[in-house]
Amino acid sequence: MTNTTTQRQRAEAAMRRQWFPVARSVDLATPQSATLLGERLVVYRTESGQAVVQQARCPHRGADFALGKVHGESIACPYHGWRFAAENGKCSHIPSLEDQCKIPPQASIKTYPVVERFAHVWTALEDPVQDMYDPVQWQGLDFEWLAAEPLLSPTGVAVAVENFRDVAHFPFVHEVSMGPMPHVVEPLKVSREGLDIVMQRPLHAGEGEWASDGDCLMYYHCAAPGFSSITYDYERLGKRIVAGFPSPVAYDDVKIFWGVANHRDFKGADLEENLRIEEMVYLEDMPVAAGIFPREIDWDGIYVEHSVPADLFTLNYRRAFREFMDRAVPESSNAPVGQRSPA
Amino acid sequence: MSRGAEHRQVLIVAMRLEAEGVMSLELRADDGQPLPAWEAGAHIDVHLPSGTVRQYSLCGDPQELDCLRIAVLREDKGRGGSREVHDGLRVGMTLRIGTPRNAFALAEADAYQFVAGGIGITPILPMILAAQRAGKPWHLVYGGRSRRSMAFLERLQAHAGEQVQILPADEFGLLDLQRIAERAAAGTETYSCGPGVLLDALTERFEAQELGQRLHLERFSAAPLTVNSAAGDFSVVLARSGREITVAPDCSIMHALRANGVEVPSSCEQGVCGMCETRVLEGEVDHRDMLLTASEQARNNLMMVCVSRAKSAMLVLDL
Repeated sequence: MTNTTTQRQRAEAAMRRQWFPVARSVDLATPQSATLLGERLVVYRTESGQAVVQQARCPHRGADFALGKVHGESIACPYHGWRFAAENGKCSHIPSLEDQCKIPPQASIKTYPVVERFAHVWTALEDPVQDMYDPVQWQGLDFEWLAAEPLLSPTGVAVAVENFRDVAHFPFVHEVSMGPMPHVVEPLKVSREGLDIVMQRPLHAGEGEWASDGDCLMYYHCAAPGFSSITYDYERLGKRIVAGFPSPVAYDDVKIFWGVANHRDFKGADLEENLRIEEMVYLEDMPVAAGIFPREIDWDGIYVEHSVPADLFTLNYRRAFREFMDRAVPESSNAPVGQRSPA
Repeated sequence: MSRGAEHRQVLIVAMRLEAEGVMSLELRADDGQPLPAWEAGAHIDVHLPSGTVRQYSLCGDPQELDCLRIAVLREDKGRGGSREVHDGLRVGMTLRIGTPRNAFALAEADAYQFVAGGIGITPILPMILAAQRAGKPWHLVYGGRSRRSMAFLERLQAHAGEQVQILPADEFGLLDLQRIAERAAAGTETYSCGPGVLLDALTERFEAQELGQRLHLERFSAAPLTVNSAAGDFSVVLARSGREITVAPDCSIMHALRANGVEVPSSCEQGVCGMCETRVLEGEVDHRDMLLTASEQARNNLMMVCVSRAKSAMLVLDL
């Protein structure tokens, strides 16, 4: 009857069933190394242009495919040149073998599902609980994406997402990039449905880097566990996006893949300039994030933590994260099956 | 005083202890007239000698035209109906019953899954007969506290193999809801009767997997609670201890609980943070928090006791 699985373990198991980015699309000229929840992976693009995610370890003598070469529709090990098919991971060629019919029949590497979207390559370690993120607010709109240099942060995915969309920290952490901001947070208009949390918030130009762009409406959208985005809708300029996709290298260690996008008709700064400014903001967050303890949200409720209405988005995100855990790693009902009569 | 034409006088011809605390009654017509016809899932009103009226599912066989069967779990903490059945009724006494009504009818389907929790097995028994007779595949998951408390086991065990799963909690733990949902996803219609917590958990699981349409439930109906009085007092019953605490109009449930020595975790105390989330077993909540979505509030199975109150005169909380 006793359930010994901690919520932390459930959270980790659940994330194995979710899409996370493991590389930038632009980096796939050569095979890339990636680690997702402790699993070492290789990410590469075949000659025909298909992005592939497979296990990094060669099952012959353990070399890392990320040091290897793409060979048509397969990856070749850097050590002895064994090749494995991109399509299904089966060993397709062993150079030292005279008769290629004698390839060990079980020799194969694990091949993971792949989606290329938002300028990144995404994968899931186990049967994903849902389709890859495809936010409604972006559907039918033509955005051009630019992936940023990923950031490393010693926190979990949920702490990283919470930081991305938190607003009460602006005047303390981002005074340089954003200029002086009011401390008091207005009542937040947050709505949640399933795993998605949305908030709209007007941004007044302020005096920081963006002062000349005029007022805009910020549309925050996060989805549990690891998707966070802001779509800026400027009265004068049109739409642009900044989005963060923290990817768990380990449970409490993330590589934050992120990027910016401009709508085709966006009249403001170009992608490089927006990336420069957003990166300045992100880098301001990093030292504070690095000191957050515990490093991931305490799903088991061991640490004391207090909340106020400015945390409403965070608190909704946490409920969505728990919902995600329930979907991905169902827990049998908390209450024992008791009996009640039709009194 | 009730609509006489719809009522019948029946004779208790047998009473049998089916399991720990579960008494079955066999009822036959007292006037030589045939008993009303009914179908699986139906229940009847039973007028007890004290005047109390209770609803019980029919658990016999609709093809047995000369008798009706019900089974009643004794609930010492209940409102007294089941105690009266167990302690006050005798073979040979007569009872008044209402016409069978059905709020849990079995619809035609290719395959059925039945999930019974405890005494919730009663409406399921005739459903199994119906599925059997229609030649449709069926599967039963039957949970309860312990084997001793689970009625009709011998009869069910006659269905050999994997068709019937008897899963007392003291041997097997909680029911595997995921497995149940998977069977539903594979194309079976699921009919379940049992305690509210089981039905809530099933509902949640099925809805999460977009299987809500395939789930059919019978809740044990509590008598409607009277509406909140003008004075604004309401009471909170703590299900685990049976204690009852009165909440005055100018006091939150949280403060009333604390004043009575009941620990409640909290942080914001303004309906934002969710720390004081408490499970609701009975009664209607007047939600005033800012965190739960409208559909979560409508489910009425949890509340933030720092700000939310009661629409009914009483709330039963899982405390």
